[in-house]
Amino acid sequence: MDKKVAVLSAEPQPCARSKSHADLRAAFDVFFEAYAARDAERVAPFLHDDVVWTVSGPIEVLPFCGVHRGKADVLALIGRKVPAVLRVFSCVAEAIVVDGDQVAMLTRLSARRPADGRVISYRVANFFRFVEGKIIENLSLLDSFDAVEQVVGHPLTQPTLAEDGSLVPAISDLVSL
Amino acid sequence: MSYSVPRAVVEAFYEAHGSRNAERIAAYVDDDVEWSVYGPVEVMQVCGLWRGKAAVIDRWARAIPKVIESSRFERERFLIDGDQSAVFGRVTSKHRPSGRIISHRCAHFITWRADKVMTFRVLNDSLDAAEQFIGRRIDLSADAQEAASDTVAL
Repeated sequence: MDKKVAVLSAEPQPCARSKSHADLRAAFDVFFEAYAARDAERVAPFLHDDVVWTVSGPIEVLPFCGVHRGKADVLALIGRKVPAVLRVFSCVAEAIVVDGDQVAMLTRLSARRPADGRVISYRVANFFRFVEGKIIENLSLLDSFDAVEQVVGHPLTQPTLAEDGSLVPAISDLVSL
Repeated sequence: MSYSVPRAVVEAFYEAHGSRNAERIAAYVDDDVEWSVYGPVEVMQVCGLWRGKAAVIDRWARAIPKVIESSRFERERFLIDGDQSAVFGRVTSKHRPSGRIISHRCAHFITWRADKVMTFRVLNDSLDAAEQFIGRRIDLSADAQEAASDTVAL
């Protein structure tokens, strides 16, 4: 699918609402629509051949975490690896910040686990960098504790019973506020 | 949108934020601020939701010093767009109760009004951070086996 993608200035233009800012915002909105739908075919025109896509989080439980290099790997991530674990059905942007050749985005993502149909929802921050109008880098930051607790389906920290029968938090060195 | 936060204001705010001085931070905070730090509050007591300037001042003056002795933030990405700003970086702190050094990725998203912070939202790599707060790895081995068997081939 051929999409028009803005050619961007390499120099950030903070606080100046330039044409390149408007172009990038418009292009990003088209990208976001495709990305929110996890439509790899529509995402493809926005990816640089040498894109590096990094997702923070524990790879043993969330196998789509880690560093993914190159357009083919990232498309496989979006089209196959993530849907094998989570079927995203909602991706709501809470903030989109465009500056120079970069876009930052905060979203709340909702997905269904194909294994059991359970719905999970957590926040993700993305920091994209564009070159020649295409994404060359993405840094994804998950609220990973929240995401993992929901994926595994149980709390990650458990209180224990003290000798007097009272509940003691698992974490002994916390300060109450 | 007509208002654009000046870069100098955002920079000055981050200088104040880095100082961890409640009064300095307060100078950049709107009376009706909503300050959210996402993460498990039972493990990371720096997390939570604070509404209003007084609550934010109290967070920095009283709550944070009980948990964090010192901290620094290394910015890797810094964006400003109209009334919003965003940063991505690594925060490194000294955990007061244990003396441990804690270092993890985090992102800030801020909405500004009249050069003051209206909403401040912090997203942490919260599992990584939580493990460092408690001083041990959270065992996910059993969950990993189950996750592997749950993965659907496509």
